[in-house]
Amino acid sequence: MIYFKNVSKIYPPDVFAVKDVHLKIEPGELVSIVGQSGAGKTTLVKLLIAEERPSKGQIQIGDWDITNIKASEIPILRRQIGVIFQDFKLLPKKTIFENVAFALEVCGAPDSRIQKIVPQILEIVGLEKKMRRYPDEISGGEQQRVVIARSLVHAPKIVIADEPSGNLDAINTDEIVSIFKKINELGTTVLLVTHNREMVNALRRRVVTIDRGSVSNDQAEGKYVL
Amino acid sequence: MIIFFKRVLSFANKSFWRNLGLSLTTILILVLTLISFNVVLSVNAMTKAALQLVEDRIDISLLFKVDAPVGKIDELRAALGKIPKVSSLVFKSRDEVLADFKIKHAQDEEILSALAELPENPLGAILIVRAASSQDYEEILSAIDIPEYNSLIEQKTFEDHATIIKKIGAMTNRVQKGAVAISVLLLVIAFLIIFNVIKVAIYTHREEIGVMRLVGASNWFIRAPFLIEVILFNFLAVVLSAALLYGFLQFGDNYVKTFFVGSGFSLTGYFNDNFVRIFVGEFLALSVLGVVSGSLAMRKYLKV
Repeated sequence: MIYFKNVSKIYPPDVFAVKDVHLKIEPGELVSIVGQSGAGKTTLVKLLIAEERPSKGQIQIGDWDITNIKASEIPILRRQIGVIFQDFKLLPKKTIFENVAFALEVCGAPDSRIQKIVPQILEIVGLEKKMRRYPDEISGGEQQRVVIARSLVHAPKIVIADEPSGNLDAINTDEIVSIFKKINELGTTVLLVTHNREMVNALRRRVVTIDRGSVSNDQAEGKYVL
Repeated sequence: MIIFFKRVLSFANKSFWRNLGLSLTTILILVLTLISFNVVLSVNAMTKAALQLVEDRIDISLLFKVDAPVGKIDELRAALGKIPKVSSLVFKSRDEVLADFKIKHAQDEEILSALAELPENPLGAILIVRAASSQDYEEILSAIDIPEYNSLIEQKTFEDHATIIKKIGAMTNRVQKGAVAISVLLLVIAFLIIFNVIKVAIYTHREEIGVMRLVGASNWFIRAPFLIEVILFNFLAVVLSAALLYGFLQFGDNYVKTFFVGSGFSLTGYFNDNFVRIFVGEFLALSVLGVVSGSLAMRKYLKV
């Protein structure tokens, strides 16, 4: 369970990026967090992966209070959360396989495990036949699928996607949506932070709307409404 | 743990080659620093050997007056024999001194005939005093500097050697101070260069670092390759500077040896005898400097 308990993030002197957010997300949910640019959606993601610390309130993941998480514990937290950003953050000089394997290498996984897991993950996102290609040799949608694959290698309990369809066309967006559904069906909690109306409406799942840093709407099977 | 080290080494190696120009510049500065330091060591070793050589030749020669009573001379010899810092006493009687003189000037007819003209032996006895260390002579001289003994002595020959020792000592100090100043300056430059190398390496690896942070690489895994890279620079710099030093000694040491004929001193021998102490010491010292400099750069530019 993800639990934001009256969380605020204030940037000096007194700018509220997130204001008194109270939000519970149960394990296995697929939740869309929507809102206009600058509403505070990305700040919520940053708070969840401990890239930012809350100014007020408490953040909990399961029984783990990450409000004042120690620097040495942040890597452990991030291995349990798969993060997908709009700007793919793929390494251009590495192949698709190497990009996904990189996430395991830097966390000390043995080579045998890397050789076993990476093809399996690439199969889930439908890129098993393109694993020897470089990022600039595949389409934008495929690049985003590589990023999704990379976020899954640690078998995270939570996957957070911040504007995953930002650089994609409608067809690629549909593919990405179906992948997120598939990941969610496997029991992973999925948080989609987006302002893509079609994507949210196609999912027909819980929608949380953020407006000026606060939760303005929370619907169990909602649509994109601002 | 093995996997951790293997990957850290691999990342450090890639970083080294990716910024090859900068890596080579850093190594060059470190090599210059080490060469400068090795010059300091060489100068130090040579001056010590030179001092030893001069010290070995130093003694106090007491030339007695022709009419000095033998009993009084024996008394002085006994007094000197009791001073612990005196390592040896060689006494030559008037007859022995005359015999030596004749042998020395055997080819000089004029001197020998002039000597034959004299009614009696014009030369006084000689006492050669040697001390354990050159610093002990002043004390020995002051011990016999009393009117009773001074009245026996025609001449004391020590002052010239003392001047040479002082001159060598002063020259050594000046050379050492200059070389140390240059070494310190180069160390400061090396410190700044390493700092900037790490800064540039962090910049060129910013994408990888970003991904590492995102996927949960430990802080140490992100930092360690930069420190390993610095240690790699130091290792290569020490190996290169040692190779250059021994290359130079192949030719230069022959000239050095000519100054120390008989003493057996050579710079190659000096560096061979102290190989581990010098080169491992240089590597460790540079590594400490590099790790401190690299850590400061990471603290400033690398957010993990």
